[in-house]
Amino acid sequence: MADSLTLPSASVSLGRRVSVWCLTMYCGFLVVMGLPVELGPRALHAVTTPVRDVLDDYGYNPWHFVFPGRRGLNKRRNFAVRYTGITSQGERVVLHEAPPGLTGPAMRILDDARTTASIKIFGLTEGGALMLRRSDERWALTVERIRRQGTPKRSVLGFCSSDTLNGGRDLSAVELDLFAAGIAYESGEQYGRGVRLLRANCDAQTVSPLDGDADNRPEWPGVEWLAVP
Amino acid sequence: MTRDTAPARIEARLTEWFFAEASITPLVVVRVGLGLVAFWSTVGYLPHMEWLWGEHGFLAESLVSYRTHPLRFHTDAVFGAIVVSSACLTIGLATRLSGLIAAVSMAVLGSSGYAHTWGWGTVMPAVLVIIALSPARNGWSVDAWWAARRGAWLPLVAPRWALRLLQVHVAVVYLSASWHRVNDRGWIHGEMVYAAFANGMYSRYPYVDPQPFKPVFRVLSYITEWLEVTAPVALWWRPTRMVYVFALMGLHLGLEVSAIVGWWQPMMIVLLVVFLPPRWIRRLLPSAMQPADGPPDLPER
Repeated sequence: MADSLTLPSASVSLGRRVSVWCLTMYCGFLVVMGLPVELGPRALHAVTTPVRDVLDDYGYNPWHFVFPGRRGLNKRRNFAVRYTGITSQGERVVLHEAPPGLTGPAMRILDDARTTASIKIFGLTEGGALMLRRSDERWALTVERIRRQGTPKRSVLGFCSSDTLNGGRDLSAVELDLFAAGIAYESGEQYGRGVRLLRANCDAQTVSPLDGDADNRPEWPGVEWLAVP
Repeated sequence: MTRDTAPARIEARLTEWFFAEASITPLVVVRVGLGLVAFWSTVGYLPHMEWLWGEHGFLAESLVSYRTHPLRFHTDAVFGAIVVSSACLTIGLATRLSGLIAAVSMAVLGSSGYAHTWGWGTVMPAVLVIIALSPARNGWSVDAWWAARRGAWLPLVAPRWALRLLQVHVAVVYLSASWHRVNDRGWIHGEMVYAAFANGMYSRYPYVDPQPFKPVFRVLSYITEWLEVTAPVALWWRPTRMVYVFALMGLHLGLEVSAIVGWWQPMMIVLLVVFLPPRWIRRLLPSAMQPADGPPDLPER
């Protein structure tokens, strides 16, 4: 086979030779960056990870354009959120439910772009943990972590101020509830919890945590609703 | 005269690997397929455009990183650019320009925080650039038809560098995914297909009780694991290549039928075409869909 190859010579243009090496380096770069962190050159990952994190913060991570990314794979059952507005007359209005109607298994989250975004801003890791955790203590810790995150807080305030999100209503407060249900692999037992998460005071532009069980829990088939710890 | 040294021989092999001439048929199929994926995925977002990506939409109010993002202030323009350019790419109208516009505008959409995508949005810009710069416009396209009208046939064989780059991309996707198949407890215990099927976020069959089917899901988990872990090698080895291409297409088809993960599965099925010999593609397609006329293809390599 090798004998049939044409060795590079003056007949092979410089441009093509440069192209070959550029293409080779690009392919090598792809393979190296595609390697799992545990297998790839640790130094490269150590150097690039902070840069990638900063770029991620601004949504400009070029790696994402090339590589499929790394996924958390701990996923179980259902997750949903509900934003409820309280008008200045005291009327409660559901502003946004993800998925719509909290239908749970009847509507998959990926069916709907709004729902996908609403769920993803909680982070798949935290949402996945809520679906997995049967332990009251660990579940409560995860909820506390979500309460401390900036994104859910900003989103609740956003429903106060954005006409696009609140439909032009004059709101005094917005509340955010969260629902998560899991399934035990061995027994198939399903369990869920609905928690009141955050409340935004629209006039003062402040957000405070809420406690206790959320009202109007979704009717997810087979789910036993547990009390929020 | 160049000496017969090891570096020279490596360079010769690489030149052969990237620049030997091959049929453009796989590239043409990928161009049409990716164009359709870009088009339909974006059209699906249009009803949510203002609420989700608009100046005062959900992302602008929730994500700090999105507040200065160009998509926030040019939502209509970016979505319009994707829809028009991906439609043009599909039919091969101004293919190079439309492919590059589609790639850039999809990158802008993808960089908005990935609230809407589940994988395919991150891979699409890179593969669209390759397709745009490749000879994928030379068949089944308005460009080729127009050139033929003027008597300037666009060649149906060309250096295969674009095919090679796409093949490497596909292999790297499986390489990157495969580690999670061997270092994750769920995959080691064969629970992940069950987990996906049982998850209301993904399953297409939310009212089917997954418990009685656990043994089946366990077998499917291990088959999936085996295919994805070995694919980065088996796709390159001629004796296993075809088996793996069709097995992986079947895997993605099965996932599409059983779960919803956006446009990842259609995109991967389209991209796997780059490993198929052009004569197989022509055999699978109706004769009416063959690239029209022009110079003959070279023999398979």
